[in-house]
Amino acid sequence: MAAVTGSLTPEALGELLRDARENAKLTQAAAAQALNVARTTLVAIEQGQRRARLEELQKLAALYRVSLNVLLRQGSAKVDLRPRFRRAGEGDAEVEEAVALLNSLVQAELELENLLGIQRARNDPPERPLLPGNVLLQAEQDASELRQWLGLGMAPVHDMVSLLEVQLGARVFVRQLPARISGLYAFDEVAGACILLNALHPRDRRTQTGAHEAGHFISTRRAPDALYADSPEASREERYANAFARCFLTPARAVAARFQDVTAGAARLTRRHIIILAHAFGVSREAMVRRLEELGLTKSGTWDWFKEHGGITDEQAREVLGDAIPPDPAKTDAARQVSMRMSLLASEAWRRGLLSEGQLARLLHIDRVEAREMIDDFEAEGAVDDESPILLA
Amino acid sequence: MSRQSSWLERAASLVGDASVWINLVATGCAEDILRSSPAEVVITTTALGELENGRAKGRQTAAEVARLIEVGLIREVSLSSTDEAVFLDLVAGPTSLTLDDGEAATIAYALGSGAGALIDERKATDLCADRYPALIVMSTTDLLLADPIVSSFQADGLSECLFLALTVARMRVPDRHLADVCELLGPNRCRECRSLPAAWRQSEASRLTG
Repeated sequence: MAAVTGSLTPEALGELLRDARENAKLTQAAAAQALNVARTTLVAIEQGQRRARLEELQKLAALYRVSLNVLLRQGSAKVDLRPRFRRAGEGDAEVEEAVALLNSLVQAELELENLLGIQRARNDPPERPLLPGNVLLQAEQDASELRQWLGLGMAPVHDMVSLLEVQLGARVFVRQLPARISGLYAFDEVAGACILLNALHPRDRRTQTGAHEAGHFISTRRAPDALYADSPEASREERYANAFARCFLTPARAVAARFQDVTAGAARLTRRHIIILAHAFGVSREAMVRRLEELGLTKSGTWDWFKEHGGITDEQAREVLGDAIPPDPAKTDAARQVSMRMSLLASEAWRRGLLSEGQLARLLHIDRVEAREMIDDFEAEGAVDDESPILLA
Repeated sequence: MSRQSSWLERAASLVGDASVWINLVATGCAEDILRSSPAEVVITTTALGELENGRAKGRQTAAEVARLIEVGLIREVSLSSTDEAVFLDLVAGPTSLTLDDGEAATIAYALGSGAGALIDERKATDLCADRYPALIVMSTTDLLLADPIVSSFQADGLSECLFLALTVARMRVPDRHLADVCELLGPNRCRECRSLPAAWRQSEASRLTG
C-alpha cells in the first residue's frame, strides 16, 4: 500500500479530509457508509491513526466534491473562510452559497498569486474596536479618522471598490448573488480583508455595502459579516457598521455644505435636489434623504413622503443627470464567468506551465472547454504578444 | 503533409485523458476514428468522472464516451495498486509540479500498463518528458494525423474533423503539426480557429511578410 507522498503527515491528511467532509456537510456516519467501512475506521483515518488506501481517498474526494490534487497539493491556498461563518451561526442557505463563492474566489486568487510570485500590498487601516457607550458617535469619529488616514478630506468617494482594493488592500469581488444578499466580509491573516459584493445591486447600493463592510474591517475585524435581507440589524456591531457607512460616504460637514450650495434660493426640497446630492456623494436617493433627515437638514419623514408620492425614479434621475451617470464596469465584468483579473492571472499561470488545463478548470470552477475559451480570449486580447514592451521590474 | 506512420501501429493500447476525449467527441466522428485505430483505446475511471461533471453544463462528451464504452470501442480501466505511487506522486506536492487527478491517473495507468498516453496538455506533456522520458505521450492531433486514421477518411473528412475539434472543443495543436493542420484546413478555415496561434490564423502570405 502506497503512502501519501510529500511532507503530508497522516494527521495532516486526516485533518484535510475532515475539513473537506465538513465543507461537504456530511456526517462521519454518511462518509463511512459511502466508503463501506465502520464509522470508527473513518474516525481513525481523520485522526491520522489509519492510512487511507488510494481507492478510499478517491472515493472520499469524489464524495466531498474535491479532487485529490486540490486536497494534497502543497502551496495551494488553505484559507477557509467557511468555518468562521459557521461559528458565527450563519445558517441561511443562500448566504452559505455566497460564503462558499467568496471562499473559492479568495482561494483561487491566493493560489494564483503564490504561483506567479505576486506579493499583494496590504494596507490594513488602524483597528478601532467597539468601545462602551454610543456606537453611533464612535462610528462618526472612526469614519472621520479613516478619511483623514486616507487623505480624503471631505471629498466624495466615487469608487468605493477601488478604494477598498487599492488604498485599504482588501480583496474585493463583485459577482452576481441572490437579490437579497448585499455583501459578505471576512478577515484572514494571510488573505487580509475579503469582501464580496452583489453585482446585481445598483452601483450606489454596492457602494454603501462596501462602506458597511469597511466599518467591520475597522471595528470588528476578525468577525465575519453577512449583510442580507432579514439579517440581524439590532446588534451594536451592525448599528456601528451602518452608521460608519453613512458617515464615511456622506460626512456631515460635506453634506451640509453641498446641501446649502444645491438648494440655494429654493423654498422646497425637490426631487432634482435629491438626485443631484445623491449623485454628488455616489449614494442612493433614499440613503441621501435619510442622511439629510439625520443631520436635521430636512424634516424627519421626508423620504416616506417621497415614497408615498411616487418616489424618485431612475427615469427622473436620467432626466436630471443625463450623461453624467457613470458606467458600471463591475456589473459587466460580473457577467463574465471568470472576472477579468482572475482570467489574466489564470491564463498567465497556464502560459507559464504552472497549472495544467485540468487544474485551471477546477480552480476556477469551469469546464475544460470554458478554460480553453478563456485562454484563447486572453491571447486574442493581446495579453500575449512577443513584440510588446517588457514591463519594468 | 508529413506522414505519421509508426507510433500508432506499434502501440498495443492507448489511454486517453479527458482533454483528448473532449476533442475526439467534438470531431463528430469519434466512432470512426476508434474503429480505424489498430491500438485499443481506454479511459481511466478518474478521467471519465471528470467528463461526467460536464453533463450538468450540457456537454455531450460523457454521454458519447459512455455510448462508445457500451459498444465496446473504449474500455474503462481503474488504477491498480501498483499505479498508486505514481498517481500520488503526480497529485501531491508543489502545485507547479502536480497535475489534476484525471491527468495524473492517465499517466499512472500508461506507465503501469505499458500503454501510450494520449494527452492534449502542455504541462502534463512536459512533466512526462522530464520524469518519464520512456513514456509515449501523444496528442489528439498525433492520433488524427496517424496513417491508419488518415487513410480511413474520404476527401475532406479529416479537414472537417480537425475543424470541428478546433472550433467546438478549442483543441490545442502541438507546434510540430501546425503546418500540416493549417494546410489541411486551408486559409479560410484557419482564420476561424481561435485556438490556433494568431500567426497561423493569418494567411500564409501575410505571415511571410510579417
